[in-house]
Amino acid sequence: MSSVQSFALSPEQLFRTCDVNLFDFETTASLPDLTEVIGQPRAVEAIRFGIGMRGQGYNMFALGPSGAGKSTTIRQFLVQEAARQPVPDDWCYVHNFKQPDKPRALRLPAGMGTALRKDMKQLIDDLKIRIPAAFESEDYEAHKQEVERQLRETQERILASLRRQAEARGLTMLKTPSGIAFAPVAKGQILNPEQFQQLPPEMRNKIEQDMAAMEAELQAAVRDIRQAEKQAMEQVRQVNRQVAAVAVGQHISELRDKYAQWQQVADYIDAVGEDVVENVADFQPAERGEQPAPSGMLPFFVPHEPSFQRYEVNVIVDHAATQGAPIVVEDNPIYQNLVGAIEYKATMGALVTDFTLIKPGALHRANGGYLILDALTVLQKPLAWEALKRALRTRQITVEALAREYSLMTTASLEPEPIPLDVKVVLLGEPMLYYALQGADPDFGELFKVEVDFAGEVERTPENCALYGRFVATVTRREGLRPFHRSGVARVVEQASRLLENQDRLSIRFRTIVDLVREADYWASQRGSTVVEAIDVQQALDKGTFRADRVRERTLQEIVNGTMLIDVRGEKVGQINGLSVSGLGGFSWGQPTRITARTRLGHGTVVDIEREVALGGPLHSKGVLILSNFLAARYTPEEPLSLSASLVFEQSYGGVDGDSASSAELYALLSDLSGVPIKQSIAVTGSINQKGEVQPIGGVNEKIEGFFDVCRLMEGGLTGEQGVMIPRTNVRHLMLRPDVVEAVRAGKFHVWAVSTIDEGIEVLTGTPAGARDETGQFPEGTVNRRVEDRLRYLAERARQAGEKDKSADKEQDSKKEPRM
Amino acid sequence: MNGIEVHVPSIRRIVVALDGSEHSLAALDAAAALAAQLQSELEALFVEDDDLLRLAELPFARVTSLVLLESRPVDRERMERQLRLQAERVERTLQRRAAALGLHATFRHVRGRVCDEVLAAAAGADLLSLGKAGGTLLSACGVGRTLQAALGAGRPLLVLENQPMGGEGFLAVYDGSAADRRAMALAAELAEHTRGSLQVLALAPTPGEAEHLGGEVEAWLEKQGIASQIIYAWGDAAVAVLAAARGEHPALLLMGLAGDEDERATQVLAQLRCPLLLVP
Repeated sequence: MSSVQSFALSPEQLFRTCDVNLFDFETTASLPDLTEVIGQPRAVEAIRFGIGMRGQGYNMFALGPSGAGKSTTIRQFLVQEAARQPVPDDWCYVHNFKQPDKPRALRLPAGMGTALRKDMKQLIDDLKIRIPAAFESEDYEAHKQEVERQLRETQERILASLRRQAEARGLTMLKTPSGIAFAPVAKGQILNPEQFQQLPPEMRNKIEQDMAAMEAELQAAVRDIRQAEKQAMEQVRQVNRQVAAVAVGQHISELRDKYAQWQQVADYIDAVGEDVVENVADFQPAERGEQPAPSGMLPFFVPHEPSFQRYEVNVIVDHAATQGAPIVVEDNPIYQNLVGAIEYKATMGALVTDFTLIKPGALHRANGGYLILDALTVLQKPLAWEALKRALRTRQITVEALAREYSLMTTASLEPEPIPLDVKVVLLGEPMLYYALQGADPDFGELFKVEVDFAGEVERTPENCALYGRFVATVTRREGLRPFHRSGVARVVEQASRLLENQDRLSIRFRTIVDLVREADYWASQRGSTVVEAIDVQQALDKGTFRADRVRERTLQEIVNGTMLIDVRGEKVGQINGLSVSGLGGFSWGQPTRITARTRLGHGTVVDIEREVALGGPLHSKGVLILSNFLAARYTPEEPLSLSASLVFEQSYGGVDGDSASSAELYALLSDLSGVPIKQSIAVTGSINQKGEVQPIGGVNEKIEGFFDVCRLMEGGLTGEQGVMIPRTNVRHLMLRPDVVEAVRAGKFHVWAVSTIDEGIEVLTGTPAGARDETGQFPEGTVNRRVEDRLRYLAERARQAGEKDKSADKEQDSKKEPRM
Repeated sequence: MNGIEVHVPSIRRIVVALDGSEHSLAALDAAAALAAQLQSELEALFVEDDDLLRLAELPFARVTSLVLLESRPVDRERMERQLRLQAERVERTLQRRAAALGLHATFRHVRGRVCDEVLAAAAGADLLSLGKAGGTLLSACGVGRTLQAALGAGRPLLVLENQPMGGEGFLAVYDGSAADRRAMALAAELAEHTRGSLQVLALAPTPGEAEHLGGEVEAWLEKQGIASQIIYAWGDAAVAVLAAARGEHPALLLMGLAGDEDERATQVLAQLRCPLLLVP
């Protein structure tokens, strides 16, 4: 075995198979449902603490990657806990008879809100019958007629007196278009001016004085009549109140007794009774003249319908059918859906509202229980986050017109009485959002004290693999899918490792896994199988890739047809195949990129052309700068690095970032410096540090598969020489496609793992890199020796060039001196 | 009533006396609705009162406003202008109401003594409609005198006080007199025209007589093919009529009128709140 072969990985190292013998079942049909939570001990403890801790601010924020089962897990615990808790009270809004713009909130035991609403409706319906009946009684009519008769008598007495006084003075009263006038009469006729002038002066004076006196009397009489009318009206009102109080009293009293143990409600019923008595005319058809005009007669009268709406009960929270504490999930947490709203209706061209138009929000429905919200959605909705915080801080729900928040409308609105809030809010979100809120919002830490941190992965132990089987069983049973054969479960477990790119861990972002289970079931159905097997899972994966890989396929074609220049055979100096990962949507793939290096005499700089044209990101630039220092420190520690080098990602027209190509760039540089060619059949990935150690990179599986596909598709196919060289620290991340593993097993493809640049040089060139001997020299013929020689040569040339420049400068200076 | 002929008054021309008061406008509404139902001719009469013009010629004439409770001097020119404006207002109201009912109405504007002019107009009318000003300041000004005079005019008289209170159907009083018989027959005709309900108050000194009268009416109405409800009452006639009107709340009460000395009519007029049609 050559030393190069010692770096080659065995097929077993490329993929960690899940042994079907781990599972003691044939299909998942025999497995019980999963009741425990896989791999979330920290989150589970936090949930238990968050649920049990009742103090203010102990709301929960469940953070974790999307698809990690935050919502499902939280709900699972909340359902168990909520079932043990009491059903919270109902809440109603009713009219506030003292301050109509401030509706009152009434609290009643679960189910009693609706009962109160029905009772109030029944009460008003009863009163609509009972009150008119009372007012139609002979007793009442007699009282009323007595008052009316008294008024009429008073009026007639005043008028008769007025008339008598006028007649006694020889005057008569006349109605004119603008009022009442007095005129002197003689023999039943009003005096004309001539007759008046013929009267003796004293008589004329007397008539004038009498008329003036009668005018004063008239005014006094009008005042007296109005006063009498006012008194009569008050008497009628008083009688009405008494009659109404008796008619209403019994009904109110019965209702009050029913709700006596809830003082607020009893007070409200009393207020209703008082209001009915005050507005008893609304219940009297005859008094308010609401009858329509008879057929064909007097059709001009438009009746005014009195409103009994103020006696309605707006039940905003009805727990009649609720079991235990409520768990509310608000998917659209806009302001109104969160804290409720005051709606308006158009009446006669104006927007009006009343307490019946108060609508509840999620906080009302969840009061006494739990409210689950997506944190990002809440933050995206205008005013919602502030409203939620305010409610939690003040521990009450205040329903306000949204227009008022915006100061858009100054129309009359309502200020409903706030409702005490006792709710535990659970926010769900990405970790980044949690930490951003912790840093940016001072209230956040106070209001969401319980951090429920969901992990996205778990160790790949036999126990966890078994739990995975039960998870698959649970999903298939819940969704009515086919049971999974243990080979199918094993393939799912392998994919769970691949998702993480880690042979030792399993992804527990279950959303992706559930999708895979569903799709595998579909392909099993297409195959006509009653159970889902490994081939169905593989089919689901392959088809998923096929659906998403149009762009990848096109890229591969560009390489295969030679548009993108990639060599996968032969050797070249200063040229190497780097590997990069591209992604579109949720799909990513690897592909080779040609990297070239050119060196010449210079001042110790390695020019990163990608950076020069602003196509290189900071991490890429960092990798290139490390190269310079590595070269200087390793090969010319005592001398200036007299090298100028340039590095290029050929045919790269987009941005490049990450330092995973830094080892490839170094190999290209060393090849150009040493003149030793690099095998183009090998692609390289890995970053380096200043000591020449190769460090792990991401996307190792996609990168290997990308180069494998290129080699496979190029003319002649796989040669048996081709392969990918990766950092040794990435070996545990390998979960390669079955076809790649098979090609390696057949010796048609290779994966080498190296720890240092020197190991990599040997793999890439077939020539030992060489280590310094006891004299500090690299052995002759090794790559390192050649590089060092080349750099020394360049340094010597630089020194010579420098001395030449100095003497030229001196000569110039001496020529200048005489002029001074 | 079987075998007794009933003469239904023919109402082809209705005259309504208007002075701009609420009572007279109520009389206009009722008269216009009636005219529309019976397809009668409607004439509105506005009288410029001679007495007012004479008063305005006096050098110290003053008018006290009931709204402002203060008196102001008035002269003939101003009085004439006010009367003209009042007449125009009344005419506009008439035309509006008539247009709403698709009715042809004429307006007559005369000068003279109110009683004389109204009675003269009544002579050429089949029905006279008047507002009732009882118990108000207007009654002290002699307005009630016109109504009193009209009771003796020998014409059917429709009397209203303020705006009508609504109500439904027709209630006719029947005590066996010829006048009541005519009133009841007119009520039956109106009920038939308007498809309104008809109730008849069979009124007699004793229950037995009332029952007898009721039987008569029922038989007669059945013969005419008119559905009705008979109410029986006895004792004081005016009290019984007022009680029935309060209880049944009719759109129109009809009863006979035995000249201007009819005590029953006078008492009912004084206290009744609903529209009343007196048929001589």
